[in-house]
Amino acid sequence: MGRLKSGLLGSNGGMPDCDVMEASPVHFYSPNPVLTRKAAPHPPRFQGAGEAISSVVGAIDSNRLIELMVSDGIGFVLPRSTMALSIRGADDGRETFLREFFGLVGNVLLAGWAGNTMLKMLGNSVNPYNPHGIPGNAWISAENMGAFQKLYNKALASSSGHEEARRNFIQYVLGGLESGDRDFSIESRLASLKKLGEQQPEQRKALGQMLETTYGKEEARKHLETYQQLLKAGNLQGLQDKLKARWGKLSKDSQGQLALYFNHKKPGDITIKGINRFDEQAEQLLREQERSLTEEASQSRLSPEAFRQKAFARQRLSLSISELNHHEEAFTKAADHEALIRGLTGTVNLRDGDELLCKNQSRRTMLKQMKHFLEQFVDRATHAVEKEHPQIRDWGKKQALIQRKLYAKSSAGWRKLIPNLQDGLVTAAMKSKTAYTWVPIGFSIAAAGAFTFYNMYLTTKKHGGKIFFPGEGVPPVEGTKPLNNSPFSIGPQASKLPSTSIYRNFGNFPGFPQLRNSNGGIIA
Amino acid sequence: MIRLSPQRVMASQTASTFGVARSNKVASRQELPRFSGLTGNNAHSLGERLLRHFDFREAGVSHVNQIQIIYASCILWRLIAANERRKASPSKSWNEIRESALRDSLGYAFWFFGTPLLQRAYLQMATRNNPDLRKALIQRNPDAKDFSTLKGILKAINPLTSLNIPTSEQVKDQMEQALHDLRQTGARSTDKEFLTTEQYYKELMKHRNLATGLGLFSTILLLGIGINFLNFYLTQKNVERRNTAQHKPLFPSLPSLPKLSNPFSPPTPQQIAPSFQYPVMPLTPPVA
Repeated sequence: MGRLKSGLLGSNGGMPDCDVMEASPVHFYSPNPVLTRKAAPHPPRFQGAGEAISSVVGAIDSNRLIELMVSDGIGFVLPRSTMALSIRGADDGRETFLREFFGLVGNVLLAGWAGNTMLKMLGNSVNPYNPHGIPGNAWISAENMGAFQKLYNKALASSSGHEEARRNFIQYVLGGLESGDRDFSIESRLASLKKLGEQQPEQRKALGQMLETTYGKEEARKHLETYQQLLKAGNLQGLQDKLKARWGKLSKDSQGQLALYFNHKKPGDITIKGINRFDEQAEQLLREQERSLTEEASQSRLSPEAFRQKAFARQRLSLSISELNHHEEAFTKAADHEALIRGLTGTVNLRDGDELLCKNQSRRTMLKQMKHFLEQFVDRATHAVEKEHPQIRDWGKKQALIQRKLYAKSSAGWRKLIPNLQDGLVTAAMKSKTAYTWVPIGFSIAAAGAFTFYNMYLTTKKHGGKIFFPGEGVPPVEGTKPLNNSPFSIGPQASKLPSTSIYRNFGNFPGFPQLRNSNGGIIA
Repeated sequence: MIRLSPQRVMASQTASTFGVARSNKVASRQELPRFSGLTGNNAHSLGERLLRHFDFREAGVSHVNQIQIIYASCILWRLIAANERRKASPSKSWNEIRESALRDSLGYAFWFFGTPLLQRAYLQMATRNNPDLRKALIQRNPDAKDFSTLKGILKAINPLTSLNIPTSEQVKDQMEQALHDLRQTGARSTDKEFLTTEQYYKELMKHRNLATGLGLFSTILLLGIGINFLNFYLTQKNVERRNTAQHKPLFPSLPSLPKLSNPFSPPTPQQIAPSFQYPVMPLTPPVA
């Protein structure tokens, strides 16, 4: 076992010892990377079979969908259809290939595609299913929506103005985030700190920086002394216990830095225009087109107020969509990286005090959806209230109106299920989610059924209406018509597979029973 | 829009939040838009819970929960279609249903449960002599220690819930954070402390990726290739047995023996050939 392990995972990967060869002048100018390996400043990339496999798997593993597709494609589709084709013949080969290939597409991808199509159809315009004109790409999952709602209500109750409520909300979310792997991350960091043990100044410096990230600059100075004493005594357990309370969360400094992104002060000049930028821009545009809009309104069947609302929603939607298309990627990337280097790893939980609101969410998704919640719901509701009731000064009343804009629910008759203008923004979004979730799933399930039957029908059609399971062998045909053995063509006229086909020879696995028909002949 | 005084808005909102029914009088006097309260988090209706479970986490990207239900129903469709074909085919054979049930249910179980189990087993084995790596790669779940209820016991003995492992992405992020912190202290990527740390995290990554690779490899070996040998063999045996029993050509087939083609109860020799007798051992051994 030891030898195997060193061969598979060993540090030099079975290469000859380099010192001996480097000493020889014959090899001095050789470009062989093995010889120059020791002189290189970086450790070598590939140190053996283990490392090679690891790097390939790492590339696959970086994306969840790619991982599923690869494990399905290489694991199921290829080997199964090759074996079926070679051992059981064309009919079962084709059936297996189509079945497994549909399994790959239908199970893993189809629901996503269907969902995307629905969002493109319904989320890019103001229509009866999207009355408020919330862009489909500003997606917020139901779980996150619930959590954000809860935290925003808390922020509303604990503040004295909508700007403060917004700030508090951002602070609650950022303060409630914690890495999903805090325990692992703290262990690995302390182990790597231990490895620096021989070089004392480096270790102390690393510890200092670690505290700075965890506590923030000011607070870290207070704690530094205690931690250094613990480290000096070699008390890693004590260090860990003390760190655990704060590890894997954003410090106050970091929260402030990250909050800048959501107050539209970063990155660069993209979002400097203020928090109500969509609403203000849309109103500006409407004011410019006022004359033509008045004409249109007089011709339409809607009341002037309703027409104005619809025109505003349309204008705002197109502004948000263009922002999403152009700046979303850059924003998410920047904010995500900021969160990463400030101590949040890829998967995060969201807590409100002790209560766990969301579990195992992607950090990137969480930040992106928080931005959507602020832009499409909070800012919009606030702006509408400010616009419609400029005379109200009392924050309690305003607060109630903002909540009404967000959560009002019309539940008379058919309106219970379908979003409409009477609904608040959040309620309408939650109602529309019903279709966005169940239609793609239902479609995928129905497609799976239809395709399974169609796959069997193909075999039947090819054999003139005979119904049979091709895994048991193909029934002999009455009369003299030749069998069609080509895997992908339908109908009895197609030519047979040539006898030189490689698939014929793959069938001869040693010790494996050959498929025979009733007369004792081998079925190809 | 119907105008509503803020006080009433607050009152109705509070009422629905705390689950208090509003009086019918108010509702009948005026058709007011009601409030959904806290739609997401406090709601416990079945529809809401299902929605939260199966919702898209990101727009247009299937989630694992969705894939689970779609895959399960796909398997169900395959069984139904196989059964339809069995009823319509002359041989009335159960071979396809057995094949599908074996192959697909094992595939489902392995995809969603087997691979994580294998990964845990590999990490347990690979890091058993190295405490520095071990605690960073596999840990006992602190919540899974409740032995007072059946649910707690099940949680504690199930390795999928009682043992935690980080994802590859998380390990990658841990490395990036550690190296970023070192860079902040002024270390360059050629310094010794930088290389030491990088090497440690690369070791972690290697084990985590090998665990994933092992899952992939065993999927190919067991479900891509192994299950085929089993299925082909069982079906072939079954067809051979049926041909022997009937002494007739398989196709076009006459009424088959349903008992014989039941995969779960292999027939006795007497069932196949009523005149069959086991050979009798002679009382005295034959003299060479």
